[in-house]
Amino acid sequence: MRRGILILVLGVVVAAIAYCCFYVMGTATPRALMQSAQPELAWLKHEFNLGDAEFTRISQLHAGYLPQCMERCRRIDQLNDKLSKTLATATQVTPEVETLLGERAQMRASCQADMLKHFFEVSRTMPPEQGQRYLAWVRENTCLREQAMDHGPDNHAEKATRHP
Amino acid sequence: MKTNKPNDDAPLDALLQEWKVKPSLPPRFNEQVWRRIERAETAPARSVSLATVFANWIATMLPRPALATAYVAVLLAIGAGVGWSQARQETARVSSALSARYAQAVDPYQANP
Repeated sequence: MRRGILILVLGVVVAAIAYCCFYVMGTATPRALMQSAQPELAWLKHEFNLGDAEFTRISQLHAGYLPQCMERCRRIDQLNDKLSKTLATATQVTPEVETLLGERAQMRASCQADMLKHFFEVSRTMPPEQGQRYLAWVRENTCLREQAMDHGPDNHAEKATRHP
Repeated sequence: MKTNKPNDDAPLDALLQEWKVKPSLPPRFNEQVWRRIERAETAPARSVSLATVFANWIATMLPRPALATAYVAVLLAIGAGVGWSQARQETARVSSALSARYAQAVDPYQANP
């Protein structure tokens, strides 16, 4: 009986050890990514198989891009505030409202163009195949992928009857 | 113990020798006996608890080398499989979280879709 119990316990211990070993081995990469100084850039390096030189260059591009991006965000926020205050007292579309809407749209367009420039620059730093993958990824996962226009299901039905 | 029998009790002795007790059986005794025999034969064997079966298995079967090896190997495979599967899930979760973090860092519109 004692030998049987020993074997029973041994099986459970072996299973627990195997679980721990495989879990620790399998999560080595994500743990390393999370422990790095900039986990999101470490992810980029891992995901797009970047070498150290490419990664250093991309880190520099990233570091250069972020302050400019933040400055543009600050200016868009300022325009948003200004527009909100103007709209709070407006009863019709005044020239001032039109100007603010135009400025904001222009600022957003400029922001998106700079973002796109950054993405192209990053992709060029990568090996060509990875660069293409990166561009495909940003197209899918950033604001470059615009949402389809939608006025709700009722309006679509109405449109379909109007324009068969 | 000594008993003193009077000599003239000989007829009584003879009578007692001839006397046979015939006990009366309860009604339908025969039928009831057969019924009990039948019932005993058809009754299921006494049930053995699962714990007893398991304990017997551990004591007698598990120590066999082939079975012990197979048992340990199966548990090793189960532990490894579950560990690997959970590691893959965790890797996918971290990867997804970090890709979202990168996208948000380079694209502030991510916060306001």
